[in-house]
Amino acid sequence: MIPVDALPILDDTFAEAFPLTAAKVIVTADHPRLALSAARAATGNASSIIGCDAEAGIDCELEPHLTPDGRPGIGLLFFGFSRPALEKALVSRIGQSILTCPTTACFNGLPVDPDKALKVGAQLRFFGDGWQASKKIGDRRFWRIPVMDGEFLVEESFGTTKGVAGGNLILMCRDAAGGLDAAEACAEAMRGVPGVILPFPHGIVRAGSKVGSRYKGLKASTNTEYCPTLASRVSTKLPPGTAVVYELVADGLDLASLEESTRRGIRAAMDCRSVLKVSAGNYGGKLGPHHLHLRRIAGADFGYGVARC
Amino acid sequence: MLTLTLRHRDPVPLEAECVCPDRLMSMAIADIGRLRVWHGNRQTELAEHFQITGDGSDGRVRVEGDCSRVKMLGSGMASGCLLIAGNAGMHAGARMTGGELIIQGDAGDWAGAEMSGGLIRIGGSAGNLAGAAYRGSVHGMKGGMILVEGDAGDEVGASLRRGIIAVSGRVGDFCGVNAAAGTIVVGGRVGARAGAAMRRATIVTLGPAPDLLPTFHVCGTVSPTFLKVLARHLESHGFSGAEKLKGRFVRSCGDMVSLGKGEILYQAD
Repeated sequence: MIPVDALPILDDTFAEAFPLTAAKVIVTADHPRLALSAARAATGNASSIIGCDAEAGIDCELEPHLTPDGRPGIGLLFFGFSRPALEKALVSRIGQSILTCPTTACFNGLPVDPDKALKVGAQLRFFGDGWQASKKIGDRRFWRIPVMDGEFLVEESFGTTKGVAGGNLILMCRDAAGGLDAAEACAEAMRGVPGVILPFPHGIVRAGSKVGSRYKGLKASTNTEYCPTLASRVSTKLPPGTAVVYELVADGLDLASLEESTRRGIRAAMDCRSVLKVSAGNYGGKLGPHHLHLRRIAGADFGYGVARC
Repeated sequence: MLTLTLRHRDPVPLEAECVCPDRLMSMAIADIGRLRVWHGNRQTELAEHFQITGDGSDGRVRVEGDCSRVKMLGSGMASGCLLIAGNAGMHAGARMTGGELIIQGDAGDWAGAEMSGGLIRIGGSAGNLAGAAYRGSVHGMKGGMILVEGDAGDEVGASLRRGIIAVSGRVGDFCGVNAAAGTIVVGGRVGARAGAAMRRATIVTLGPAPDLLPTFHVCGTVSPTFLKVLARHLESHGFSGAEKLKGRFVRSCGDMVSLGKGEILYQAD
């Protein structure tokens, strides 16, 4: 049994991240609460690209002076396998969850390359049934769609960039309550980096998965190596005394943001007494081109992490 | 910067469409001076009318003197900055596609007529037919922006197709007549028959409620989000009074003699 006052171990491993197409959406409304409701709905059921049409989350809250229409807003990030897939997801999600929410409007948050842009407003406009109207202000085209409380304004095209998805940390903790506190602190630290989202509910994953299953047709199944209740039955990666394991999954608009988020997450986790070990998931380097080595990212100045483990 | 100083105040009009930053930037001063311009019914050289100094390779040209009888300054320009430190004659910036034309004084008729891009700033007032279509053309202004700090004359934005015209002061009659799309913002009073035969455009008046044609129908009170975006855009260009665009407006749809998908918005309070 590891002593209670022992310092956490920072595993000598890496998180394996991979490129996904990313878009940034700014949703505004008359009141922050409405913008937040629309934002939460639009980014719902978007935890993993394995089973959802996109990975999505709230990036940041925006003060009125930072939004295109001078109203309170929320910045959202969406990640998809390809531009067509992401376009389809955005049209569906904005159409169902933002267009329908009172007083909202929806704007692009990334530079637009016409060859790589997603046609979002250009498709949603047809909801106007012939009464939609376009406005070009500067070099941006908007669509005004009549709705029951006035008009829904949506930008015609949304820019994309090559984002990085699959950043992760795995926290192995000695007790349930302390483990949850650690995961929450870690998530808070990680999502503090602009351009990074944690797409799972509350930013924390309790159901980490491995590729494949004994059941035909299932793409993923529970990650038995990290299940404390199976520790004596299967090959395990858990140190003795592990009661709970939580995973933090992050997607970023670029690798630098994701690395900074990972760095903050490591530091937050290592400060928690409940954490026995901090690790990360990978596929042996076979899946993604980006390897986020925990000890490199934590930094040479990171005293009790790298030096003592 | 290249500087052109008008040598005379001859009432005979001069047609100087060659005075465009993008055309002059790669030319030597001697060559610029030999450019042909019409002075009344006589072809002359530019140097007869302007003293030319400086270097236009940076794409910036300054014109000094009262050019109210000099036509077509900056017409067709595609890039660069042309500053007219005084008045400009007719057709200034007509059919321009890009760049910035700054007229510190008044502009004559047809300023920005059929322009498709770029920015025209008029520090004084504009004449008639700013951003309009030439007779026989289907469309007037097709893009870009015209900002007028003073007043503007009749038929502003006639047959407007796209783009933004913002006038701080009042405008004359037939504002936005036959407009197909685009946006006109008027800070003061709008003259008679605004939006006549318009199809899809928007006319926003921040002054007193206009006398509407009977073929316009009121469709409620609104606070359109696009006006808030437009307000930001105009504020970023230093247009005064844009803050009022964030208020509530009565929406009057028309012109029902045409497609009827245009609108005139005037302040609700």
